[in-house]
Amino acid sequence: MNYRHIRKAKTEGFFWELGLPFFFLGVLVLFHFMYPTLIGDFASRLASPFWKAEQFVIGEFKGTLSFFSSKQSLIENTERLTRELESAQIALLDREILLEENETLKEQFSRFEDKDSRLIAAVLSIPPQSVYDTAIIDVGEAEGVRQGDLALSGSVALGTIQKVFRHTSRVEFFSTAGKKMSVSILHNKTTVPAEVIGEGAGSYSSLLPKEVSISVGDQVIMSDLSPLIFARVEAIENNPADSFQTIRFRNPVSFQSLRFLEIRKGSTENSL
Amino acid sequence: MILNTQRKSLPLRLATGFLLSVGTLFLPWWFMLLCIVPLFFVFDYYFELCLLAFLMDVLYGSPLPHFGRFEFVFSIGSLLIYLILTVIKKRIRV
Repeated sequence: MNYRHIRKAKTEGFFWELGLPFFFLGVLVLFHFMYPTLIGDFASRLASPFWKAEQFVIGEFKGTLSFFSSKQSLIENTERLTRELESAQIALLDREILLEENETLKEQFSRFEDKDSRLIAAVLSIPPQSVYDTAIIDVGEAEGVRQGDLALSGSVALGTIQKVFRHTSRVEFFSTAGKKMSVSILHNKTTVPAEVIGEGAGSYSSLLPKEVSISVGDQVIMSDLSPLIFARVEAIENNPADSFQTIRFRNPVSFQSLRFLEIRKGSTENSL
Repeated sequence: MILNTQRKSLPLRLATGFLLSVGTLFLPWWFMLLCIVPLFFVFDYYFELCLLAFLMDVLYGSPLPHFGRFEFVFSIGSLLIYLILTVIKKRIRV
């Protein structure tokens, strides 16, 4: 009578069921730590054509969709956008004057901004394609991007370059869960220093004493001679029994609408 | 017996692996997870779950302060999901 080798069968099953994924992942992680950018560079090189094709197809598809829009909705959209543009132009009337004054003051204090230090990058991938609060852009080491460079959308600071590959880079947003930043809240011509904690997807929170006066809509900036907009106060949570208030902030730029980012070379989070 | 099962479905398994790899570039991560979980019950020892999670970590991962600035959180999470699904699969005898 033949008896099955139970111990061998159990060992085989154990390896295939539990050991194999651990083994594969362990080898890959070890390889990645030995050669930090090799796998990432290879993966991003393979992925780049797909991302660029996706942007192209989305652009073409949007153009085709608009062909089927009704004439009335197009007219309404045009009128609404024209009104918004007129309001924005009025609000920006003094921007050029203020900008020139800012440049003059900086020159007097010998602070010159190198115009060549800015680079425009197309966004290839944005959340929620990944669990993380990161974006992939189409410029990398070859274009002069360095780890720590600042990523902006206009005057809004969004994040920093966390990893650089040959022709792509990864931007880590400031709203990454658990990430702490020192900022200033502008309230009634006063500046309130605060430490914000990222909560993901462009949201932040901060704990301040109840006596500190903050209003919904207050701007939050990153301290610098060229102050950059960081976020806007969205909500204030007050508990009568608590001596602190929780301030909720939100990034004014929606990640879903991001198509291009401005990379400011030669700046880091600490040197802001 | 294990090898015979894998040989029969190998081209299909490779094709789904390739499609899922391309899907990680376009689709949200939660949608990918919803697609991968049923495949775990179709194929034997579907460790591609962990490989795809590693791919997403390599492409998009950043050190998370909540996890001691560890970069492969999704990969570790996929290992846990793999273990849980293995136990479930044994229980329902698929």
